[in-house]
Amino acid sequence: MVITLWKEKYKIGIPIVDWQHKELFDRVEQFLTALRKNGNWEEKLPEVKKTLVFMQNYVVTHFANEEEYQKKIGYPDFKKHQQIHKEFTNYVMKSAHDFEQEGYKEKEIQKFAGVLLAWLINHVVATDLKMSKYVQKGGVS
Amino acid sequence: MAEQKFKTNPFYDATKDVFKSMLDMDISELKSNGQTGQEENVKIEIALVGDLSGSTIYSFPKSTTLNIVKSLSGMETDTLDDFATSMLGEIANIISGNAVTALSGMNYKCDIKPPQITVGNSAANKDENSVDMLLHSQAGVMREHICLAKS
Repeated sequence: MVITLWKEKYKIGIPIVDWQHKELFDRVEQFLTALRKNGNWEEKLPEVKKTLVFMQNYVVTHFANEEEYQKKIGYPDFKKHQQIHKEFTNYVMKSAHDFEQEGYKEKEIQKFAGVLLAWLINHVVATDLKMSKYVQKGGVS
Repeated sequence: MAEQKFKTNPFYDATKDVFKSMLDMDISELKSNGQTGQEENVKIEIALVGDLSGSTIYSFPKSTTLNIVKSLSGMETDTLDDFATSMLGEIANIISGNAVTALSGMNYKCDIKPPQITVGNSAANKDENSVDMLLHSQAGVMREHICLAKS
């Protein structure tokens, strides 16, 4: 199954953030590729776990870096944006914890993946785009 | 009619914005014929609580659902599995969240509950408090059944 997540339209015009978004989407793509390929669940599971951790670590790293950038530019919606990141990070961490506790059930991980992808795309094209508009309006050089 | 505006406008506008930003698709309203066809539907119910109470039910026929999944993930699939239905659940959640933000601008403070997702052929029951919108995009048709009343 071919999965292509990244689209040029997701670029928000801030090179460092665009680079990290591309990296994040690449990691989500690796997770989805492992999850959605044909085959027995038990055989797919080691790769699913590995790519899940790889992706989840980058969610935390990217959000932290983006928040640092927002502080640096004095982004007025920083607190609100940080809260959105916090809530989603909690969701990702809780899901990962629940998967471990409940024995990595395929149904639950497929559901998580659907939410993850829709959330991330909306976050980039709607919430992060607001930050970009602030930068382009001259909020930062 | 004015009474219906708080029911339809925020949801229509939110759907239009979310489809445009996430999917690059335009939404238009069709004349409702009371059904979205004989296809299996992904039905997502999101309850609202606060100054307004009730729920919005989003119905995405199978073909629309699979087109949306393909557009967002690049994945061709022919089944309504958990990945596809939960992705649609999150999109409905985003639309409802944006509609609630618009409602707060109309002085109705509300919160939404987590989406309840089912797959089947049943249609939402229409009553005097509900409004139905049949919407069309490049992904296909979808229906929004909005049943809200002032608390």
